[in-house]
Amino acid sequence: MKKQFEIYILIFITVIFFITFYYSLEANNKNNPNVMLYKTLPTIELTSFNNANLKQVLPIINEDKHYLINIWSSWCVPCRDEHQTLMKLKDKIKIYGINYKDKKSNAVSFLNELGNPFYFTGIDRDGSLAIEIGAYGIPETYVTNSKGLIVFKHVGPLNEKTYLKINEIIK
Amino acid sequence: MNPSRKKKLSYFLVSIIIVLILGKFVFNSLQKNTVYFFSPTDLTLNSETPRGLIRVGGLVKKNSVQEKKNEATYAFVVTDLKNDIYVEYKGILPNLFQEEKGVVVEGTLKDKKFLLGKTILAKHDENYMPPEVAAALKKSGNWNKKYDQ
Amino acid sequence: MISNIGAILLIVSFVTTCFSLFLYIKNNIICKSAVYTKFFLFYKSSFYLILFSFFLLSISFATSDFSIISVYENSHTDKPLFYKISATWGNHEGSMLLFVLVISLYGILFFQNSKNINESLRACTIFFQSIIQLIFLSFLIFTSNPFDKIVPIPNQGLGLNPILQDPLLAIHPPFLYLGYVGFSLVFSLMLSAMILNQYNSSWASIAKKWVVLPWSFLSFGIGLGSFWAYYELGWGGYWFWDPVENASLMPWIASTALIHSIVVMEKMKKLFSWTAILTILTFVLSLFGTFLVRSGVLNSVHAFANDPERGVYILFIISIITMSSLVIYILKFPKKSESNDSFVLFSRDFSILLNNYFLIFILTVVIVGTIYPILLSVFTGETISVGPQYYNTILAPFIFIFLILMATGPLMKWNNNSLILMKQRIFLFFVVSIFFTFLISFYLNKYNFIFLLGVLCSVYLIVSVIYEVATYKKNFFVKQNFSRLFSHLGFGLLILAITLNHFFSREITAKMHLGESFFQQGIKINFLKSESNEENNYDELFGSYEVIKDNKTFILKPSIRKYKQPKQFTSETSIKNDGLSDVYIAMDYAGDPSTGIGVRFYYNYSVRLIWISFALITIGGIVSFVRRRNEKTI
Repeated sequence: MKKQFEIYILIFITVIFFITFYYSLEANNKNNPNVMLYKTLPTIELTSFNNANLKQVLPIINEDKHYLINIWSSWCVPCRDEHQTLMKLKDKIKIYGINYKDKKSNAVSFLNELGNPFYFTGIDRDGSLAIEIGAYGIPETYVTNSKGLIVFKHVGPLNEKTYLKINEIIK
Repeated sequence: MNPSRKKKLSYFLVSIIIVLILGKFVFNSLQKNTVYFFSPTDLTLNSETPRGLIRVGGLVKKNSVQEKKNEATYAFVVTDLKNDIYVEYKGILPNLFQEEKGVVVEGTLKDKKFLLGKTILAKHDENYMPPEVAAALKKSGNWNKKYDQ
Repeated sequence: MISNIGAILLIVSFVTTCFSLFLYIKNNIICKSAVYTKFFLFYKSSFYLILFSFFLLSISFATSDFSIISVYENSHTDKPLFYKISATWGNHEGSMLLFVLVISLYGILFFQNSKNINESLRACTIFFQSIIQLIFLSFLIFTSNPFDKIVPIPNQGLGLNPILQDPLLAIHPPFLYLGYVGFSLVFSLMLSAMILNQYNSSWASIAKKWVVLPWSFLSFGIGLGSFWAYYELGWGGYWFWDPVENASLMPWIASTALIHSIVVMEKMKKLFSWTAILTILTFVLSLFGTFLVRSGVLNSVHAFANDPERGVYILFIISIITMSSLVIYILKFPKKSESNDSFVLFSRDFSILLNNYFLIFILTVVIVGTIYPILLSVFTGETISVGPQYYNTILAPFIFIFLILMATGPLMKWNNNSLILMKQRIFLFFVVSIFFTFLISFYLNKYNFIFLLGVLCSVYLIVSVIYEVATYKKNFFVKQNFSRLFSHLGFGLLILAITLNHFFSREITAKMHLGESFFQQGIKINFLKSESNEENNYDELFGSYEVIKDNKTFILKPSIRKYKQPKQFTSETSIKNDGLSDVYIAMDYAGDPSTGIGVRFYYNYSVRLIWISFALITIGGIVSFVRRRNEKTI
């Protein structure tokens, strides 16, 4: 009897321990970007940067391959860091850029300075489009497949590791 | 109650008291030596000014680093892209300290916008961003009605 | 090609382990036959498969086979061969393979050194060890496979962090693993003894070496890490109470208590419960430490790759192992054991009991300091860090008392009130220690209370050891004494050195131009000249500094290295010794060199004594394995 009681207490304590530290992992991963993973990209309409009459609707169904969506702005420091990686990806996958809460002139200088990897750049003046597609912050990158399904999502700047992952996905 | 039981009980009570005293002792020391972390936005939103030693993290704002040669002090701004804080630091800047890169400064606040830095925490990797800084940046880049001007 | 074989070997080892477990269960649990040959055969094969797999991984690293992801992410053709090989375990996946290898290795070591133990205990121990091996093998294969491939094959690797390109750091993980992972064996040994009803004092004799062996490796590994941190990190310190350091210290403290406990269990047939709980605690702390450093919950200067997903698995493994071992303890702890837990005041066994309480308290303090930030972030969302002062403030008084215990305990008799016997000696030690303490404080002109206390207590322990050595009688020479004498002496010297170092070290930071001089705290530093150098993976800038202290001159040449792949700066320290102390300089290079180069200068008082102490403590463990002519077993 006493032994049974001890065992129950033991199990109880172990479960508490497990849950507490499980949450510590969550706490450290506060911005879990994977909520949207494997969900269909919500429909949004982008107005082109260069031409107010040119629009693009995402997701693009019946697109043959994967494509990439990148949320960026000129005032975002990590966006500068990842720009190199975007330039590397430019020829491998179509990149749709969403310019977030930015001034056009600044965005243009940014692209002139660091290069333009975007097949199409859309404007998100008040940030509502980013919210629509469930973005957490910037920079943020999505890779969508031909069915409009988000197969990859990354919050923060792209780096070697994510670059590799993207390559794997689009191969 | 027989004597052996009495003995056991008294041992038990004494141990509890010792444990409680030690526990209090440990807890006190812990509280005294706990350093809280804030992002510049946290400080802006805080109604009171945190006292004592704290840590502030963010990115070193571009073009903000100045050296006050005659005072052997550096001044720079730490930002989380939403709010800034001005830091003065007496000492050597560690190797991994760079503009537009992550930094954590430990020091005391003169006021909510002014930190007297005692130590600059450097990490090993140039690409490494302290997790607290990354979280702070994401929080501030987040569109959040609460932070809206 | 090689990577495919390596991966296959791991899978085959997995299957082999499963099969051996199946055999054991079928033959020996269900059919109760006492024949274990096939079981052992399969177990041995599983070991060789893992060993060969590890060997193949090392070859992949040595030959820069970038088709393997871990090689691609952690190596580069420009790395010197030694670091290419050490990169094998310098990443999460490779180090997990090493982890599994050590589990298996200890199983084999046990197998080969237990031929005179009864077969059922032997087999059951290997059974439990195989279960642990299987668990981690699964973790390895399914979540952290070092042989995962990348296509297309990159031409060049991402390079190894230059901080990791250091000889000591390269060998640090293997020693740590041979340490804390090695406690898996005594854990298995204990579980099997409980199940087979053989948990008694003869078990303790057998088990002792399986605690001391990993303990020695762990002591060395921790000392190595401390030594590396000292000369590589450039902050003049040797211990930062960093959570990652604590992760290896916690099992060390628990296993130290375990060693003492097991000795009492063997000699006096007491502390059966303590030993069992400590065995479980030691192994669980080892696993918990592994969890802490790999899961991303810790914010530290040297945390491993952050991967919360794997963290969940490790957490799960720890929970299962802890729970099952404690259930076995509750259910199978001998009801009518030879154990007799009455203690006589002022006896040696009572001292050890007290010692255990002290060690548990110290352990608790360290655990609390390490996980408090984690718990707070879960319950309140606040981010904090615990300053090193927390540990120093609390532990100091307790360690001082602890030193006195260590000095007087071993001289008492077993199970006998030795107070009368000891009175004279205690008094004698006090007198001699006070004398030396005053001598030291007079010479150094320091009368701070904490300083005096620290010196007094450590000298007290040292005096007791010297007393024992001076008075041993040749015919009663017992080997264990030397083991204890070395380690206790080492510990006494350690605290003495730490106390001296704390009170007499100096730190100077300055920014200097070429040709400039700086004078502070009685030390003069001249920035003489600078030189450049180029190696194939970095460019280097040396500074020549002349340091003058107490009429002694030292020339130091620290440098700053600019690595090419990955692009990174490191600061290399320059250290020269002044007796047991060090003259130590590191350069900082931030911003514009035309405004001068930052210099951090440290005078680390009696720091070399700290290294000597670590060595002595480790030697104590090693000495216990030296057999004397007339001894049959260890």
